[in-house]
Amino acid sequence: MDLKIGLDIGSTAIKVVFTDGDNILWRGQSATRPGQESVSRALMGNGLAELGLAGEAIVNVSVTGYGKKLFGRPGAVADEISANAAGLFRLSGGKAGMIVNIGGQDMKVIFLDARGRLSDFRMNDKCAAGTGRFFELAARILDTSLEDFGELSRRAGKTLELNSTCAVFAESEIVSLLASGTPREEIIKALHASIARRASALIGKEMNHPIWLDGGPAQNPGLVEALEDELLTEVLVLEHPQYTVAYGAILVAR
Amino acid sequence: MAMTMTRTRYLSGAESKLQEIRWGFQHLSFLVLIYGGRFGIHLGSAVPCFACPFVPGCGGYCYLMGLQGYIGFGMRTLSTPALWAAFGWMVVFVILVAVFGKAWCGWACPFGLIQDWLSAIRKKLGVRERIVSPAAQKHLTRLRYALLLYLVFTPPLVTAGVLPEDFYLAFCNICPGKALLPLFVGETKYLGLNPDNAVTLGLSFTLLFITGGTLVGMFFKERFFCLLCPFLTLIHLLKPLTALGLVKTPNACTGCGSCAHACPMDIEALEEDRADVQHDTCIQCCQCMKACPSHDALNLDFFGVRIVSSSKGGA
Amino acid sequence: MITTQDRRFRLLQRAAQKCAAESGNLLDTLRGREDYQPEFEYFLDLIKEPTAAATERRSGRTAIRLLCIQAPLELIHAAGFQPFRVFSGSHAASALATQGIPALVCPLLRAVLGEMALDKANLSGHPWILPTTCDWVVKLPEMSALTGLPSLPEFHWMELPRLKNDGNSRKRWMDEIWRLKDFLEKTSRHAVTRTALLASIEAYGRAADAFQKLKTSRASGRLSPVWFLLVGNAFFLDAVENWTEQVNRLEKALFAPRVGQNRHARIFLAGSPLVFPNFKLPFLFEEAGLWVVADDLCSSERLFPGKTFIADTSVFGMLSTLAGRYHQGCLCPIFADNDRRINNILGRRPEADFRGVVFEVLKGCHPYDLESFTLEKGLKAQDLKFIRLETDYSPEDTRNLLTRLEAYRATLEEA
Repeated sequence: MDLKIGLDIGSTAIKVVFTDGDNILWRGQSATRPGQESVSRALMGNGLAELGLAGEAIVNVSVTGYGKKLFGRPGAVADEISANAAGLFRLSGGKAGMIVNIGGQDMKVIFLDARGRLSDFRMNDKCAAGTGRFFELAARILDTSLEDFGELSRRAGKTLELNSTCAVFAESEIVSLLASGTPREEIIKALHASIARRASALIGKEMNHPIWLDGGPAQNPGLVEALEDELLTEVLVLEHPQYTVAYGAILVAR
Repeated sequence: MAMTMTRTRYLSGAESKLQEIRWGFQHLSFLVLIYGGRFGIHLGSAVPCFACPFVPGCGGYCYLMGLQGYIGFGMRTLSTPALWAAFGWMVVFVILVAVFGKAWCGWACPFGLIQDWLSAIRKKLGVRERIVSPAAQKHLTRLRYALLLYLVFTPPLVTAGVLPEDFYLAFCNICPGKALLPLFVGETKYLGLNPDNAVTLGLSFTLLFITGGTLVGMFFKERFFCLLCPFLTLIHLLKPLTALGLVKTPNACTGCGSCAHACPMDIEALEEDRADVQHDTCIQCCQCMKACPSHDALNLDFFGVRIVSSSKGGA
Repeated sequence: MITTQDRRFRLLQRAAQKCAAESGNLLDTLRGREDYQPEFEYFLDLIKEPTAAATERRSGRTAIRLLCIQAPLELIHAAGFQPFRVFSGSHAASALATQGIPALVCPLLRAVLGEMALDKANLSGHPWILPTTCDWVVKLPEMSALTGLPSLPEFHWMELPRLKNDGNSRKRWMDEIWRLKDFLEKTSRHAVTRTALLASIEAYGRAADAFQKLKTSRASGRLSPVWFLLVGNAFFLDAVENWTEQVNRLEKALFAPRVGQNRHARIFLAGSPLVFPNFKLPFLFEEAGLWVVADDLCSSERLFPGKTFIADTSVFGMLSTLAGRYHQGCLCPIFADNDRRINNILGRRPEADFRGVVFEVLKGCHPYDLESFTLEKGLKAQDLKFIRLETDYSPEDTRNLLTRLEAYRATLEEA
């Protein structure tokens, strides 16, 4: 067994994908915390154990993500955006032309050409508004698990508008909405809409339809609906959208 | 690899000598056209610049003289050999212009060189040059066409007997080249009044007046006389046939205006966004190319082949 | 009992220490580089002490302070002065000027205000030449008063017409050039002679020639863009003759290209000025595998818009040529008719052979910000890859910038 491993050391989570070259054999993730390398190695150890394989089976470890330099002696490295483009293109069966990735601290819009090569991209600057971090913060204030966001937002009665996507300002806004008795469902729906607006601003005028959404927050159907509503186009999500970058690293890392 | 290519194309060191080469060439041409006859050199009767026939022992004849005289419209005998000669020299002239274009003005004209000498003295003295505004240039262009018409139509009128004989070579008789160029072989007789009759007196007075005015003008304005010269217009009229042309790459131009500042003819149109910048008053002296700080923005093309280009170091 | 004065003094002291550390760390980094050569030492020494006083000592001339470079340097030099550009890329200095002025002021002007407060460059009480370029520059005296500077310098304004392709504007600018000459003559108490002006033009021409060679070396990989930027940054810190000599010396001594250079993707760098010690981006370019082969920064290539060719050597002729060079020839985005700026990039393409353009905007630098969109459209239409980076002097966006630059590098390979 020739095991090729893709490792994506993100700001919020570390994701690992095991492949035999083409097929995904195993995937796993773990929250990012200090000592990224040992967390990553432990995660890979879990994978090997579950597959019943020994370390010798590993042919190569391709590393990407903001923490890629924290991983000593990687087999190969890739930048996150190229890895994202390659990973999603392959997993979508060569159909993707445009990707919106919502990560822990950033939001990216990626354009691919017909052959799946990265042609252009946009990325928010250092401000973390409208990113995964913002979701986490909101979940904490609302005392709700992120997994329930999609279901809850569907149940919202009224459509509310949040004034801010800024993580700092939104916090106080949510607190005061809660204090005034606004139902959580409505707040969550408003959160999704505000992130969709932010994505729309980053996308601008150019668009290749349909849009593929990935990154951790893509698992949230409420967000997908909000994006479709805002962008007026179809938004597609793969089954495990948070692993596309790690998978892509295997394809493009050098 | 890319860098070596650049070096051969721009000839960085050698090419910056272009103006020195031109200066040398102008002097060589001056010697040939003024003194050539004394050494058995004669370039014929269709030289497209001021190779003045009134200079004893000159090395070629200015085509303007031929055009007025026995090989032009002013043919006094309508015999077949004369017609053939006129036609033949016209073909030679067209070929010479078609190949070298305005380079005759900037590189070969002896009268142009005299003007450049005066400018050099002015520069040494630190006297500022006067600029001819685009509006004034328009008026001068009209004047230039008027002079060309005068040149072309007086001779037939003389032949037809409408104008008196003394109007023969009407342009030469008021051309400052005729007054000044013979001075270089010690001939001073054209620098005086000719009191034979009213016409000769009038023409010789006009010549003295124009010569004096031109000398002053030439001192304060580079190539002042060129702005009046019928050759400038005549060669320009043959532009569609000309192989040598000033070509601009509009998307390499940053609009800095250095070209127009350097241009002795004050051609502001060089700054415009178009490929053909071979303006009617251009004398192809290539000073704009020397001043231009952009690679390839201004180029001299010969039969479609780029022979000189502007570069950051100065052409 | 701590007084306000005490506090202010200690604040300035701390900022001065931070500034020194900022510059010192960068100098150490530069000296520790693999491609360090002893010939760089001259430029490092200049940058180490970027003050007007040190520049006067080195050049033996009285310094005239300027900010933007539309005042003809040759004229200042011919009047016997040393043009000294007040410029700063110091994060510590920019952090000093935060209170009492708009939050949107660009980091460069903020840093200049900080430097004025520290008076490191001995800025107050000496004449400045200030062409009216962007809004922040025009409001600099007002802002320096707001930030509580004890004494303001004397400003000689040059009203820079914002139209270049207009005869009337050119005439007005010519008037400003004559006014500058009067001002310089009054300050120096002797006339600017024709011979002095000609000599100055020649001296700056030689500097332009030397810099041109250095540009070629950078494009061919013999000189890294980081060092190139340093050399340009040091230009105003010594007599032009000394600087030129050192540049020529450096150029001759440059090593052969390093083997690794081939792996870099060639880019054109456009945008706001990069000033020492704000070398964040140049280092990130290296890390991401990008090699700046040409640029249009007013702190780098645009210091010399090419050699000045003088057709008319009278004072009038030279001044009008210089006036054109510094006005019509200026590609600063503050001009209303700056549509040919893109040509400076496209025109360099065949010779410098780059595949993409990186446009960096200093936050708050509105004219550059706006023009980046115009350029993006035009350059993409010419099949050049384009990326726009908006940043300031703080290091906090380093990771974000690097992620983008690495991906940008990947798009260049695809091209």
